Amino acid sequence: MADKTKYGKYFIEYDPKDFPKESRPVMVRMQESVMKGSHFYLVHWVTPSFGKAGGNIKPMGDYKYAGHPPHIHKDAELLIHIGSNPDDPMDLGAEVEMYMGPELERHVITRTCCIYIPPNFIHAPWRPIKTTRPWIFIEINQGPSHTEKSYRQILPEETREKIDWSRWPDEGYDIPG
Amino acid sequence: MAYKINTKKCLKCGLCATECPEKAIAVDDRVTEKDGLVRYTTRIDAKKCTDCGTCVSFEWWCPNKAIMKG
Repeated sequence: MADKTKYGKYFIEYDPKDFPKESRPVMVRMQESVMKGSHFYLVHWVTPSFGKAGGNIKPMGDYKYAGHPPHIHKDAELLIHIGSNPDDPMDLGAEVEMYMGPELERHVITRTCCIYIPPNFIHAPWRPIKTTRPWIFIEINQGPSHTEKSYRQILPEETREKIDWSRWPDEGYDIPG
Repeated sequence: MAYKINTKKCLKCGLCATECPEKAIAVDDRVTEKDGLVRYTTRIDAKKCTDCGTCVSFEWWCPNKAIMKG
């Protein structure tokens, strides 16, 4: 989309070649490395096969606490879930499981909504349990790049053993000592 | 020193050692678990702590609220 006009550089189309490890159906990814001064934004579709066996991304599993494991970010995060039902925009068309806090408080989302995650707040596992109509997920980190630190120590041992941890690396944290 | 780490609540994430503005929280030990998670044992250094209270001023400064007054 960027052309040779004066401001064409501000029209940015996601290029999968820039993010070779990405397997989700991403539509937009913005961050400091894409456009100086930008915070981190990620937008992707969630289709009925998302996270399921046979889908485009690795299956998330269907055991207790499956999904993106517990973690924190340095900056506040907004997790926006947007349904695509034209007759009821607040209908997510899906069930999404989300755990909050070090206590792993369970929530199930079925409505269009935004989850606010304060800096350093332990959140997830996050996992779409069931999707009947494609919906859009928007992740906003109020910082220039994506940071993540795992809190897998709050999961039961049997759950930790089921997870391929190379899939969920820490980013942007350097603990001294 | 007005603050202490509740070792029963501490998740040994080491985050407090990166966040203290006075660098008064030190890592005494680190252990890597079999799935790669590194656990840190931290301690508040009484000589460096200025009782500024930053460590308890923000609700999620410690993700499990293991630092407390007293």
